[in-house]
Amino acid sequence: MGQKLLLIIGLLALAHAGYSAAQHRVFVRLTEQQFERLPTDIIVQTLIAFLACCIGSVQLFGKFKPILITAEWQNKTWDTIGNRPSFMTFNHRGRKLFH
Amino acid sequence: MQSAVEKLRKYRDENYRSHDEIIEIWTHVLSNRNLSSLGDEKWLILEQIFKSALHCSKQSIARQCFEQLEKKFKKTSRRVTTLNGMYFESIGEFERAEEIYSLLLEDNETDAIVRKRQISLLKEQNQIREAISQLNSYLELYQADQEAWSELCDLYLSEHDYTKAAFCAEELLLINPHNHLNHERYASIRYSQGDYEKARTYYFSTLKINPTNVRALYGIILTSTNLALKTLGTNSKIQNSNENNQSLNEQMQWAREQIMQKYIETTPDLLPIIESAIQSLTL
Repeated sequence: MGQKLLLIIGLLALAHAGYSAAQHRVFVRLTEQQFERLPTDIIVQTLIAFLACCIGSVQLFGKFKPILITAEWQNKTWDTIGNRPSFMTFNHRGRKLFH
Repeated sequence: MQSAVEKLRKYRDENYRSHDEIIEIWTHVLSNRNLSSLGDEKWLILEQIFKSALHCSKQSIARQCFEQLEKKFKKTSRRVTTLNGMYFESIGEFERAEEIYSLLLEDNETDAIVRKRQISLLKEQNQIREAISQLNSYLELYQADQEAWSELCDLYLSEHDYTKAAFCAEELLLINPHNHLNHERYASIRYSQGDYEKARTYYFSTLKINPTNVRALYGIILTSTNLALKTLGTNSKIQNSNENNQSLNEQMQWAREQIMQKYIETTPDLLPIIESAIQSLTL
């Protein structure tokens, strides 16, 4: 839930920063000033919103997997790895055990 | 209900064999509820319950699931028809099962699942040799099938044909070199053959991949002991064999300490028993 909220806030903040930048341009043109650069607060807001979007979207799509390829089998045992469901047979002790 | 469904999903994805538990979940939690809210997963669960019911010889539950599946997918579905074949297998009507499978194969020769069922049908009737030859011809077509190689390895082992079983284990190693259990199995087959040198190498490679594999540690103790005994028997070059024995001894000690360490960490009560057990394994 938290990561979803973070992503939404990030996207909204990003949109807001874009809107502010456009508005600043209009303001500069109307007051007939020379456009030099965007105000610092808009730049900072853009960067923070971008970071929030990054963290939010990475967190949203599940957990990270271990990078070591052998880690996948580290805690597996022969009970599950050695089980071959497409070759299962039914003629075994189950018949007597669960009857 | 949610946790039950999640548990079933875990069992399904990771090939657990706890069929009795699955049946228990079904009878206590799921059988009286409406599963439609699960969407398409409902059918996967029903299939899973069906197979587990056959394992536990609960044919009535199996029929119940099967009827729902048949109603949904009609008689034309190959997967459901295969399930029907399995049902006949479980009640011992092998001819009818075989009939169903060969009809399915006539329809579509490339159906790997049905071919595997036919092979397991032979296994079920204890015709291991016939199953082996069928599985060999299957593997000529589907060479990357890990499950089939593993099965063939087991069938050869049950016939005590270690050389051929070792070949299958080698194939598995090639397909999946990062699975420590494959290394361990290959080493164990080599050990059974008496090829201690190779077995020891692969027990070490098991430990390299997964340092927590206790069976490999025991394997190292056993192979080192056997190798040391062998060099004692044929002491042609005394100087050389002494050095060799020393390194074998060191490795044995190391493996022993590792095992002890694991027991101290997990179950210290069992330590004296383990100590005497290892004592009897070593010289």
